[in-house]
Amino acid sequence: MALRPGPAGDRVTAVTAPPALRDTLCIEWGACPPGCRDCVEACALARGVARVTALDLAEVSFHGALTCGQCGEPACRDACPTGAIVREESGVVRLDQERCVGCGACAGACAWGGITLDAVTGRASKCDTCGGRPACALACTTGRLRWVETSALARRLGHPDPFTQGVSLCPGCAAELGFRTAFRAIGPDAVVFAAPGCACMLACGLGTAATTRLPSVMSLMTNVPSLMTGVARQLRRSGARTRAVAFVGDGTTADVGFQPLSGAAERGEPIVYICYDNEGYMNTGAQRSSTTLQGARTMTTPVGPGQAGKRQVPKDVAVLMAMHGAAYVATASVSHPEDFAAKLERALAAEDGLAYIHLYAPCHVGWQAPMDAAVEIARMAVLTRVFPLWEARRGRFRLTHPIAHPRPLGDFAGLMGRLRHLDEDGLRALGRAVEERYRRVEALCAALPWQEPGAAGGR
Amino acid sequence: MTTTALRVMDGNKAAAVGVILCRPDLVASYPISPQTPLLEALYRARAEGRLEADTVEVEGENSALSAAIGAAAAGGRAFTATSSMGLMFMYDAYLFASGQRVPVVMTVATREQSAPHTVSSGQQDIMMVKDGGWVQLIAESCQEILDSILVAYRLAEDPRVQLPVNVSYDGYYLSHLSEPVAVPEQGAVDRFLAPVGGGKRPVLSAAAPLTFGAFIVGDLYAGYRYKHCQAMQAALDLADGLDGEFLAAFGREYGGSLEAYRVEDAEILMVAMGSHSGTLKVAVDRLRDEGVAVGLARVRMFRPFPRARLAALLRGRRAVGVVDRSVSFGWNAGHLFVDVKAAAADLEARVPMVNFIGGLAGTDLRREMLEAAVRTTLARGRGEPGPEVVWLNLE
Ligand code: SF4
Repeated sequence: MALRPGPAGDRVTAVTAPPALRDTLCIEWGACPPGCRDCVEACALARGVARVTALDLAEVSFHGALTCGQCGEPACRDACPTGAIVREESGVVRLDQERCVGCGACAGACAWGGITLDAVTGRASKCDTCGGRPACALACTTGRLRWVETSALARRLGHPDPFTQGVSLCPGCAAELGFRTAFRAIGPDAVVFAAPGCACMLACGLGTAATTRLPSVMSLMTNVPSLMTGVARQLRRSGARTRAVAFVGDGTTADVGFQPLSGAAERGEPIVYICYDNEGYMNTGAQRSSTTLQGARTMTTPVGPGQAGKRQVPKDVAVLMAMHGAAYVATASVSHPEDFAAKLERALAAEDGLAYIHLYAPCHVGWQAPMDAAVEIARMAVLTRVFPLWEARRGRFRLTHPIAHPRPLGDFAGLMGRLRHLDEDGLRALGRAVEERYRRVEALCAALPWQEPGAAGGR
Repeated sequence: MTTTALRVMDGNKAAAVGVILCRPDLVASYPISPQTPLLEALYRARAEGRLEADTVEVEGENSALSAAIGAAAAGGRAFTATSSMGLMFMYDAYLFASGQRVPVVMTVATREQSAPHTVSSGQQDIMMVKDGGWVQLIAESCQEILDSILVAYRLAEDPRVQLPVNVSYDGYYLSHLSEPVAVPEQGAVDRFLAPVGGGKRPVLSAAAPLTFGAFIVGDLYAGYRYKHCQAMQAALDLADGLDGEFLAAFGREYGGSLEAYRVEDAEILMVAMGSHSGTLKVAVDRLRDEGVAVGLARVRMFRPFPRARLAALLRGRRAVGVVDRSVSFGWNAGHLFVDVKAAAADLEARVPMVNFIGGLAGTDLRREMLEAAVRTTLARGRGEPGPEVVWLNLE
């Protein structure tokens, strides 16, 4: 994306349009049943000639479909001497049969076998996704080849990006991703509340430089929901539809600012409170909070002969909020944006009380992980049951992403330095705490099952 | 000037009547003695349809003030009330309110601080926040409580001021003691509170996004502090003129930031604030009858401090006596005394001063004690030695 100084001189503004959003063929490589040719046949039938190949490499147990990946910077296009290949706005790399002279330069340039020369016509041939209803995917019964509406999330997050300029957070910060996702879903008719911590740089900016287009309040750590109460009530009183939305960390939420949150939930204030949980005071250099995972190394729960990280299990703030009978409560993760977006929609719809979303947002800095690890850590937290995804309306629960077969805990713990000291015993102890938390949520879902709004028995 | 009805009510009730007349948008409060009856009166008025405000029964004082700040930040008129430890529990929000320049009004029915524990009257609580950047009015009577609330909103919402305002009154002595109070007419109050300067101030709105409580580093910070001081000065400058406007509208006047009582030719000047000023006035009257030339300077506006007007009153006195109901530890004197001494530093000639600390934890400052205090001051003026700080009712 090209950047140039904006009108203010001291800012940079994007000048190129973002790449077109598109849906995509998703192929799980090498996992097809050997000998299956359903996709190839369906394509040949629909398009006259098959534009998808089935690879059967028995020696390496690789069986899978191969077709054009609709590259962002297609090598075939660049190699074509006649300009017969263009990348359309939709993201489809399209071949113009009329202009093709059949030289084969494209097929030579593509490392993926995504474009081939058709012996019958003497022209190139490639997948054009059948206008969004690909015959191959419709024919695939195993799900190894699927048509994924990757643009659905973008459509769901239909509002413009909330940021006006660069954000001074660590590169790869999951909190920033969570904030961006949240306000692309919520839109600009909101007042955003932050508290001292990394999120104040997201919501409020620094000095006279505002980072977002949103009206924002840099609250105290001790009074976010109470300030929101006053603002939300006054906005309603003045007839505005503007929502009060908090985006604050776990220290504020679970520790020093829990009392007003509990009060606002009990009173049923019509506010949306998003806690981004990075399990500690990351802005001040990674001290433990009450949501820090058991066993985790922080600056205040060090590892040494006398102690092996945090001794206590995390406070399950989301469950506590649900036990208030809050209008809507959910856990979400930066790794599952569709789920997060759907929950944001339900949170906004719950105008009759407090909506609380506990967003898992690993801090790779404080958790001692590589810069690009935060989302993967978050995904592993979900897949290992460390962080269950669920929601509750008025104290009625359901798991939104049940994990029937959890991945081994080591797949999660191995991704970050803060847990690397855990030996087998340590991992087992952590595993027991993780299972207990997950089973508690399962039990709540069974005992107090979710009810659709308006259903009998709902409040 | 409008005709008004006289009703007998205690200070909390008078405060409630004043608040209702100001038509707030939001009232948030948490119970604490001795302000609780005020809160109850407001919630009752709300239930009976005499108060249109949104009421929020918060879970603590920090939240009470914070909800009020939020409503004011979104353009509303907000009210809250507290006392003693409640005021301490909202301290971070207290500083946030003034730094953020939101026009919240909060009454404080003053009370001692724990520990030692007591719920009795005293001015220690409000003195603990004197440098917190709020405008602070301190009433002498139930009537003045009501009237000061109207003045408080006028000052708070004036674009030249735009600061939160405290109206303090002595717990129990005023909060629970009944007096006849003239209740102004709603129309007159509405006119008095008509938005100054069109009521335009920066508010939270999605249509015109602003950042409240921006994160500041460096030079810009001094600019905010400097403007805050300018707003304080503006409040002081406006207070005296506002007193005349109040007289025209309601037929009562108080002297603006400072009330001068029988100060003409006074050899001795007493300085005080709050309900015992009334007792001091009686003492002054009686001693004047005996031929003692004594007067009283009653500080109505403790912040901003009416330094110049007070210095003018101090000038040329033989001695000055200051009565405090709070203690500044380390100075080991009363808070007002320390400030009066600072104001006296502007004078060319030194004035002997003596401080009387009394009335702590609700002990009575009786007329005889205050008369004795005047006599002590008089003796100091004649050169008799004695301690600078005299503790009244010391066990
Ligand atoms: S310290 Fe952690 S939470 Fe804060 S900005 Fe950096 S990555 Fe994000």
